[in-house]
Amino acid sequence: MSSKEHLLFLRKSKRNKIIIRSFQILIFFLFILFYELFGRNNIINSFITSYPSKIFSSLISLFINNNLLFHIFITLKEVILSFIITNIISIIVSLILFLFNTFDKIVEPYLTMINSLPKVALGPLIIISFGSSSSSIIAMAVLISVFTSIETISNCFKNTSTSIIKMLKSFNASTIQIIWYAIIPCNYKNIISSFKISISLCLIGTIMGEFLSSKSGVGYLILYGTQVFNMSLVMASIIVLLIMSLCLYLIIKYIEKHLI
Amino acid sequence: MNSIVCLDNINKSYHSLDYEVKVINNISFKINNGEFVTIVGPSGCGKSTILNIISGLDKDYDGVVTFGEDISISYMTQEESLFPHLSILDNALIALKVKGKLNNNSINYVNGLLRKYGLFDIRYKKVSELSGGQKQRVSLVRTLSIKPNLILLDEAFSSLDYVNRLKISEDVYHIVKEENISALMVSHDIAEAISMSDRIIVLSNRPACIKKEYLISLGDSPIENRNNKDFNYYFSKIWEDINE
Ligand SMILES: Nc1ncnc2c1ncn2[C@@H]1O[C@H](COP(=O)(O)OP(=O)(O)OP(=O)(O)O)[C@@H](O)[C@H]1O
Ligand SMILES: [Mg+2]
Repeated sequence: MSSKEHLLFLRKSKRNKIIIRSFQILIFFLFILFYELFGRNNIINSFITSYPSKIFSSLISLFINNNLLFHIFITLKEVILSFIITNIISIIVSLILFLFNTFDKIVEPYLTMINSLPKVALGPLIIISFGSSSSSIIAMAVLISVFTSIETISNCFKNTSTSIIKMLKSFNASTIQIIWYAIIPCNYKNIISSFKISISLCLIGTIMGEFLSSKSGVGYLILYGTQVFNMSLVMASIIVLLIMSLCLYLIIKYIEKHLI
Repeated sequence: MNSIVCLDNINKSYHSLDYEVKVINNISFKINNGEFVTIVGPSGCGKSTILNIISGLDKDYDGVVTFGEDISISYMTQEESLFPHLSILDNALIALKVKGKLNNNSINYVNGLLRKYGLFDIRYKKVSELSGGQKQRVSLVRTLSIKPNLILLDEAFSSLDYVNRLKISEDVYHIVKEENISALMVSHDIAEAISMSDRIIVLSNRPACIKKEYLISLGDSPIENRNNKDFNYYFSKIWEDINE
């Protein structure tokens, strides 16, 4: 049974939601509309930015002639692999840092240092050591995302409620049990939000890797489009990238909502 | 009578880079099998520290602690230590899980305790949605779940309302006596200490040493003990000791 006030509250919050959604959609269509108008009438330099209808037809031709799905698949594979590797490494390293306090203190300045280094600078090194292959792209993506991940995850491990750990210890819990019952589940939310950051960093890393060396993937399409001055191709690839990153984010959000 | 735990000349200081605080000064006492002992003393004198030492959480002290045979300790700490993301039931079962003692018998026992403390009907509710008093009752169920033979209770009833506090102290008293558990309790409430205990240890200001010990002999119901003719005698004595 809801009271009158509660019903009123529900109606009000629903109306608010509708207003927000409609404005979001409106902005999207206005953007497309003006982009198209300005592009066609050369108010903006359409050679560089292209315009929606041209981008759309270029998307279609990409799909038909250039095997777009194949390129998406390659990039997606690299992103997901690097995401998995990144997070396995980060969780293991964070656990080690959590368990061995002295070790944590020893490596702390080094971690901070590496974390602030622009990892792209290491790109050429990676290509030399891994060769011009998928593995060097994955290595690039892992390198870009893993230190941030370690920092966030190990920080939240360190902030696990001490009174809960104390309680478990008072029942003679083993280290494994403390990790299993407290460290991981108590930080479940934080780990997922770190996933959200690392998936986008992996996408960034993958594209950078593809810029540096590749024969396929969405990053390659962008690079290729630039080299042949086909800006519609570049814009279309960027749109594909946008959609990909949105989908990846939504997948993690779905996991967050339904997997516990 | 055999003792379940015996503290012999315990000394303890906390250290940091720029100071050292002596917290426990030569404390020795023992707790007999089935005995209910309460420690009272000024805030910050070192009561929780003593429980930490007995529970084995704090190993950094001087002196010797010896235990009786087959010791199994359950410690209800002063700070709340429930998993916010788990249900009441899962929280109540965690100690059994950790000890590998989860079976039908132990689950039934826990369900019985939950029923007794008015938590059974809401046992699937998340702990983060509970009141302070409800949380304390969940902790108490968890503490009793493993059927320990020594329980350490640090301000275990502090968040309960007065009526529940009396009821639950009555109840814990009977569980302790019927299951032949020994108990070491820390309480700020002198009346509660007198009504429940066989013996009361009064500690001095920091560094804590034993100032006085009282053997209490009242009836076997904490609530009724409050009306015992000797109750006020103990109360005024201990009141004086603490406010000296
Ligand atoms: N980890 C620590 N490092 C340094 N000092 C500490 C630490 N823990 C406790 N102390 C100090 O030791 C003293 C005793 O602490 P303890 O928690 O045992 O007091 P208590 O008697 O339980 O107090 P209360 O009744 O308020 O719970 C306090 O003065 C406290 O400031
Ligand atoms: Mg205390």
